[in-house]
Amino acid sequence: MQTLSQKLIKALIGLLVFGVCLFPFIKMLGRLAPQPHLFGLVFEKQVLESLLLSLKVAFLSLVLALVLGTPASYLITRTNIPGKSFLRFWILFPFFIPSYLFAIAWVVLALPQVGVLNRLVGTDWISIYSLGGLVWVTCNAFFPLIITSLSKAFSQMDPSLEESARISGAGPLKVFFKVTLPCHIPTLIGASTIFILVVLSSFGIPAIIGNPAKLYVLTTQIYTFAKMGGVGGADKGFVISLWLIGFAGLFTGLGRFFTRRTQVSLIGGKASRSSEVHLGAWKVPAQLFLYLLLVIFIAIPMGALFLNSFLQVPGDFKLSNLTLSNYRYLISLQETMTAIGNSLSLALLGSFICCLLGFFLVAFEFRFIEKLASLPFSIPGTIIALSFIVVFGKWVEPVFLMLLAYTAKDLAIAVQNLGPSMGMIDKTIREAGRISGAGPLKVLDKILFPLVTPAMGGVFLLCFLPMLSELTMSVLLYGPGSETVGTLIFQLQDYANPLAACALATLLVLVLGLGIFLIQRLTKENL
Amino acid sequence: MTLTRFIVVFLPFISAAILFLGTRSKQEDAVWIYASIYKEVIAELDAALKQTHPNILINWYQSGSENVAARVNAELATGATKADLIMTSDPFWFQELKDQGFLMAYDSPKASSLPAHYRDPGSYFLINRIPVGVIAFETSSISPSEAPSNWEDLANPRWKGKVCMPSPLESGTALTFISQLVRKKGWAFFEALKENQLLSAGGNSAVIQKIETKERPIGIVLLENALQAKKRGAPIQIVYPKDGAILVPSPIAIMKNSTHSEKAKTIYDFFLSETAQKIFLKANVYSPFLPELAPENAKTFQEIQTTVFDWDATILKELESKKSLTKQRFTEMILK
Repeated sequence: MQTLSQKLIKALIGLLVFGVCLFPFIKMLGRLAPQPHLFGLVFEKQVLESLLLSLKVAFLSLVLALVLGTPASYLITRTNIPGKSFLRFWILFPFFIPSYLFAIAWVVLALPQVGVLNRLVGTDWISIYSLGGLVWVTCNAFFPLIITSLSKAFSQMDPSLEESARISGAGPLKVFFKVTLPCHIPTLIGASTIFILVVLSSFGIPAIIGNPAKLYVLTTQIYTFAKMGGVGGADKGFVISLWLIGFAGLFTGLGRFFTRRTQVSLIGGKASRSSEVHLGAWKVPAQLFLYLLLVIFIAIPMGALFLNSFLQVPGDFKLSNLTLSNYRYLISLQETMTAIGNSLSLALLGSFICCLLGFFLVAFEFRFIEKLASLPFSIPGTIIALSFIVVFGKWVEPVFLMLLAYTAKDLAIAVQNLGPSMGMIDKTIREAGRISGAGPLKVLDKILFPLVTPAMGGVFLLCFLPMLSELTMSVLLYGPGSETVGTLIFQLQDYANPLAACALATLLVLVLGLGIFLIQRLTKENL
Repeated sequence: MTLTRFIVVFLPFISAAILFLGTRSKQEDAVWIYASIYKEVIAELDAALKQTHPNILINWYQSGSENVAARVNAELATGATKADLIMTSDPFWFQELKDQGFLMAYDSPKASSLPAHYRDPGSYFLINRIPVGVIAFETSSISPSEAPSNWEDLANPRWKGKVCMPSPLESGTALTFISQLVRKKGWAFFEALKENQLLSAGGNSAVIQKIETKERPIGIVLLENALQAKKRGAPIQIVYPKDGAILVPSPIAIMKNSTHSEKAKTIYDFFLSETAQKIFLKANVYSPFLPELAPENAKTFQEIQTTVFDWDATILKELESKKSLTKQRFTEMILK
C-alpha cells in the first residue's frame, strides 16, 4: 500500500535522478547525432596522439603503483608489522588529497635546473616537466586506489590456503608469490581497471605538469577545446571525450569479467580468522620500505607544499627567505573569500542532497533508479561538465551548475555506502512500525533513518571532502564570481602567483586532514 | 537521529549556503570588469574606485589575456556575457569584437587628451595603458658591453641557445611582439632566431625565471616584469633596443549589451583619470596620458617614444587580419 505523498516523493526523486544522471548525456548525444562531421575529430592526429599519451601515462603509472602498492597492502593487512594502524592511516592519506596538490608540490621539488632536488643532488637533469615526471606524480597521487582495494581483499582472504602452503614447508616469500598473489589476480585486475579509469579522466596533474612539457593528454585537450569556443567548443570537447567513455566502458567490462569469474573460488564462506604472517628477518626491511614510501609519497611533497608557502623565492629553503607575504597576498584577494565560501557552500549543499537522496533511494528500494544514480560516478568529470553546460547552461547559473554536477557525480557514494546498512535492517522492523500505526513516511523518519544515522556521518564526509577540492568539473563550469578553492589554486599556479597557490593548498590540506581523521573515526574501518 | 531532526539541524547551514551562492551570482546591480591586469594592481585600483565611487558595486574577473578572451567568447556564444567592461593586453581581440559588433561606442570626455593614434576611429575602444617589450639579460653570465643592443643582435650566432621569449599560445603580449617584429624585420628574422634555437614558452614571468636561472640568459620580455625582478634584487639588466622597443597598446572597452552602461562609462572615465594612470605607472606600465612620467628606474614614455615601433589604427587592422596566420606560422616554425 502506498500513500499519495509517498508516490509523489518517489516520482519526484525518480525524475530528479533521471534529470541529472541520464538525461543530459542522452540529450548531448542527440544533439551531436545530426552533426556527423564533428565525429571526424575523434580520429584526428592531434587527438589520437593525446589518446596514446593518456594511455601511456595510465599504464606506466599503474605498473609503478602495483609494484609499490601490492607489497605495501600485504604488509599492512596480513603481517605482524609493528605500528600497523599508524601506517595504514598515513599510507591511505593521499586518497582524499586532490591530485593537483601533488602536482604543485612536485613542481616545487623537481623544477628543471632550479628545483629543490637538483639543488640538493647538484644536478641539472631532474625535470618534472617530462613523461617520467607525469608518471611519477600520477602514481604518487593515485596509488592509494590500489591499496584500498587490495588491502580489503587481502584481509578477507581465506588464510587456510596460505597456512597449508606454509605447513608444506614454503617460506613467507614463496607463500606470497605462489599462493597469495595468484589468488588475488582478479582483485589486482579490478583495482587496476579502477586506477586506469581514474587516471584517464583526471585533469589536474596533466594540466599542471603536462602542459608546460607540451605533453597533452585527452582531458587537457578537451579543456583547450572547451575553453576556446562556447557551445561549439563544448560539442567538440564532448566528441573527443567519447574516447574516455569508450575506455571507461571497456575497462569496466574487463574488470567485471575477471572479478566475477574467480571471486567464488577465492574467499571461502566460512568465518575465518585471518592469521598474521610472521615476518621474522624481513621485519626491518619491510618497515624500511613502508616508511620510505611514506616519506617519499607523503612527507616530502606535503612538506614541500607547506614550506614553500612561507617562502619569498620558490624552492629556496633558508631562514632569510621566510615570509608571510603569500598568505597576506591571499587575504588581499577578492576571490579568496568568494572561493572558500563557494566551495564550502557547494560541498555542504551537495553532500546534504546526496545523503538525503541516497537515503530515499535505498529506503524505497528503488533498484533501477539506484543503478541510474550510480552511473555518473563512472562517467569522466569532463563529460558531465560539458553536457551540463550545453543542456542546462542557458538557464542555470554556473554555481548551481556545479552543485548539480557535484551531486550527480557523488550520489553513487551515498547509495553504495548506505545500501549495506539498509540491507541489514530486517523487514520485520518496518512492518512492526506499520502495524503500530505509523505511515510509510513516518517509518522512514522515525525508524529507518535513525538506524542508518551512524553510517550517515561517514557518507556525508565521503561526499564532502572530494567536493571541497573538486577541480576537473569546476574548471570547465566556473565563471566570474563562482570560483572555487580548486579553480583558484589552479589559476594561481598556472598564471598569477604559484607561491600563493602553495599557501591556499596548505590550508586545504589542513582542512582535508581533519576530515580524513574524522572519517576514520566515524567509519571505524579503513576507508 | 530522525530524518526530520537531521533536516532541521542542517537547515540553517543549508539556507546560509544557498543564500551565499545566490547572492554571489546574482548581484544585479554590480558592474563586472574582466581584466588581464595583475591581481595586486587590481587590489589597488579597486581600493581607489571604492574611494572615488563608493556607491558603485564592482566585481572583478581576473585572468590572462587569452583566458579572459576565451571566457567572454564562450559567454557570448551561449547567450550574453556578464562583462560590462573589458581590459586586456590583446588589442587584436578588441578589433575583432568591434568588427563583430559586440562593443559600445563611447566618446569619453577624458579621451581628448589622448594622441589620436591610440584611439579607435569609431570610439569603440581606446588604449589606456602601454606595457613595453624590451630585451633583458643576466649580468653574471653576460657583460653589459657585449650584450645585444638591438633586435637583430639576437640572431647573432654567438647567442645560440641563449635566447627565450614568451609563447603566443599562452601570452597575449607575445603575439604583439611577434606581429610587430615580423612586420618590421620579416620572417627572415625569425628564421635566423630559429637557427639560434630560440625558446618560446610560458608567459613573461616564466621568461624572467629562465633569464634569472641562466637557463636562457637573454630574453624578449615585458619591461614591467624585468623592472619588478630587478627591484627584488635579481641580477638583470634592461636593454631598450636601438631599433625600437615594442609597444603593447592595451585597450579598454564597454560591452554593447552592458546592462549598466552609465555606471560602466563612469568607471571607464576613472581608468583614464590621473589616479588610475598613476597606479598603472606604479605597476611599471606606461601611461599614454602622462607621457612625461616614467615607472621607477625606467626611461620616460617620451624618451622611448622616439624609437618605438609604429602604432595606429591602420597597423592594428593590418596585424589583426594576419593574426591567425602569424600564430600558425610561428607555431610551426618555432614551437614544433
